[in-house]
Amino acid sequence: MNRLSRGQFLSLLLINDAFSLICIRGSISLKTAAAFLLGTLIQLVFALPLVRLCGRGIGADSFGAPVKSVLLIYIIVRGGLLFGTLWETSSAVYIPYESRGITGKLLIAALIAAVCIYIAFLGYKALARSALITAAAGAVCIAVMLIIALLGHPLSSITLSHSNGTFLSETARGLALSGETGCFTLMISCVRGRPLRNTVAYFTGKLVLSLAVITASLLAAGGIMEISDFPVLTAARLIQPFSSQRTDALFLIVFSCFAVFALSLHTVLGGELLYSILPVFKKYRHLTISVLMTAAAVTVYRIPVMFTAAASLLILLVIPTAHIFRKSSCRTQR
Amino acid sequence: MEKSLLPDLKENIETIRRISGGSSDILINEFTAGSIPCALICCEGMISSQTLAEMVLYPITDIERKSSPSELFRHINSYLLLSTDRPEARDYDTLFRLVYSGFAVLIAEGSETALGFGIQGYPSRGIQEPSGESNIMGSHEGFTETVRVNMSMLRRRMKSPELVMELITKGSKSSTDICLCYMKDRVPPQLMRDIRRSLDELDTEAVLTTGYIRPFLQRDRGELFSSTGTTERPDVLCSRLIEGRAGLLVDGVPYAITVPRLFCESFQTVDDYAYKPYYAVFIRWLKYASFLTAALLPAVYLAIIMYHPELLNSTLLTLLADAEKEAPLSVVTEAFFVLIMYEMIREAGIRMPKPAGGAVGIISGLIIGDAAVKSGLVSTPLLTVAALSVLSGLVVPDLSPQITVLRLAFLVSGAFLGLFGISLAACAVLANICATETYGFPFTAPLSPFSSSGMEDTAFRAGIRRMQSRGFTVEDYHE
Repeated sequence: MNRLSRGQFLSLLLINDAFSLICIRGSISLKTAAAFLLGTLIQLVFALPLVRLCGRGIGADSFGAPVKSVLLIYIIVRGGLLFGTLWETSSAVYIPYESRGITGKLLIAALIAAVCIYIAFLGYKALARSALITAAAGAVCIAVMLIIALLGHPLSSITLSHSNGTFLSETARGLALSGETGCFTLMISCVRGRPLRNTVAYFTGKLVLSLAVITASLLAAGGIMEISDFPVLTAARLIQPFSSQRTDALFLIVFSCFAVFALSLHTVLGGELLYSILPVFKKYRHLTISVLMTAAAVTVYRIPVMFTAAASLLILLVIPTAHIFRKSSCRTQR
Repeated sequence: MEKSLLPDLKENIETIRRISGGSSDILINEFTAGSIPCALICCEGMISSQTLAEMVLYPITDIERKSSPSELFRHINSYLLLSTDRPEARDYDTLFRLVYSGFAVLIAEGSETALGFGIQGYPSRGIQEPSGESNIMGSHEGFTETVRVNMSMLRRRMKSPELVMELITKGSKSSTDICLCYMKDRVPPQLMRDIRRSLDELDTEAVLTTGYIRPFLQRDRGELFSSTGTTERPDVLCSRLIEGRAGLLVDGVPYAITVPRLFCESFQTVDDYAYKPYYAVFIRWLKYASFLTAALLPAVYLAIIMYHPELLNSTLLTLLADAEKEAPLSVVTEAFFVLIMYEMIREAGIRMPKPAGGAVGIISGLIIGDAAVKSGLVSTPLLTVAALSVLSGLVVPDLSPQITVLRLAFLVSGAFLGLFGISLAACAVLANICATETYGFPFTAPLSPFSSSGMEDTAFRAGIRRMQSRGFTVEDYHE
């Protein structure tokens, strides 16, 4: 895999996190923000053994097919979950033809998959470079959203805690939402610079992003949180910079671009893994991954949150565990 | 044809006549010089007749008796300054290349070597103002079709021994002179090795335009934008050479190729460095906005009025709805009609003989435009949007072909899927642009991969003192 700059690495992962946040379902409150903070810290702690190994030049490439297969399955399932989320959320944003039943939904899914496969075909470098530009544009949009929310909505809209959620369940939701730990595991060894610095930069960025989006959503949609299915999308509808015209359709652009790049990253990473495990798939690796992700979206979409949360943590330990096994088996052989 | 020259003059002349197929433009003048039978071979129209008579024929025929042809050639080389460029030819291949390049070639009885005199004098277009890269404050000289004149224009601006100009010949039939130029202290050595390797692979019969060379210098994976640039301005080429790029001048083409090319170059002009930075920055952002307007405006217009009318305020919405209500065609058909009509008129304007070009302008502007609106065939807002988009495209002429295609592609996506379709198409186009690179130099640098120092001449235009002090070369962007 090619070397990435830190900016490209952060952009690729934060776009995924931002997309997951945009598609968040159910009420959110300050308790959610605190739980997300805790979840991010837990992920950082779980990532430390992997980061230490990366500092010694040990990454996913250092291991054989069994480890890569575990990572591949995670990437496919996670991509499938993202695909399912996109499918579900697309009903909440206005996309032409989407409301025309299953054919409309299939058309939208096929178009997104086609663009993802095309981007994956162009390569990892092209994806990383374009993600940097998209992330910069997305950051501007989120900053504008936050500023307008801060200026135009009362702080009293922010609710401390909503009725249906314990702190543990909120933490699990945060962990489940940011399942980009699989992509993180695969990419961290390919980033220029010190792995620990890159890791801290990523988790800090993720924290800032989560807090910005949750704060803007709480300010704009805090009052109607109980009845809003997609709080961030509802907030985007309520944040209007102009008095005489609505701008929420512009949010659709951010949503679509983030969806495309989030799914493209999974397609590229899955394709590379598939090719390294089964070189026979070289030509059709991206297409195969897309088909597998679509199948995963249909079959495992209703996975329990606790399971997804646990998987997002455990995937960080796959490489360190495999490394320990390898070392112990070497000792036994001696 | 690599056969060596023969010592027998008659046989040599016969062979030359046979190889040239009795071509009328090959002139063979037989005479005696230093009591040795000689012949001077040249190509009519490629040499200066006056120089030939005064500087070659007259001094040569005046040489005193010499014992051998080698002594004759030594005398010419040592005592007569007939021309500054005096290459030797030992085979017919070289002899013909010299003759067809405007040299007069002397062959003598008993010699297996021919001596060439550079007395080129073919008619060529004079130095004129560039047609496609006009400016206000900079030089008004543009490249011509003669590679040596173009080389002299470069040398006049860069009187430094660091500027190297290497002449090579390409094209098995055309034998076109190509000049590879670079600053040897600035250009990345790996870039030069890569370019030379690519040029070695260039195996065409003729090199008639830059388009015959550019595909060999860039990888072809369906990129929309070319990763090699062109310019018809010597000052622009000089500035690119100073930044560590390499340039290629092709004989017969008034454009230079520059390698590598960056996306931001299309938005930079010589005038940017003549004006105050604040104005240059304003103009540069105007060009970025124009590029986006040119590619996206008609598509966004369609997307908004068809799928997202809430983006408009009530006054504008009513205005547009009233205008579109009157039009007999659907707004999508109208948009395609107007844009395709524009492309036809533009193409006609370029290809038509110049005197008729004005007529095309009048017909298109007055008759088609005015009549289409008055007859109600096209709505006024749509025509305004199309005109704005087309005008914006003219602000960045370097990207004109790409803008034309992107405008129509975005129009299709916007018409069928609204802003969602435009977003999907934009993602694909962005990835395509980001995938473009030459020899490891990303087309999108310094935006992605990001370089804060590179932004000083991309998003902004820093002062000349600051830019000179940073010692930038294009190698900074290599990935």
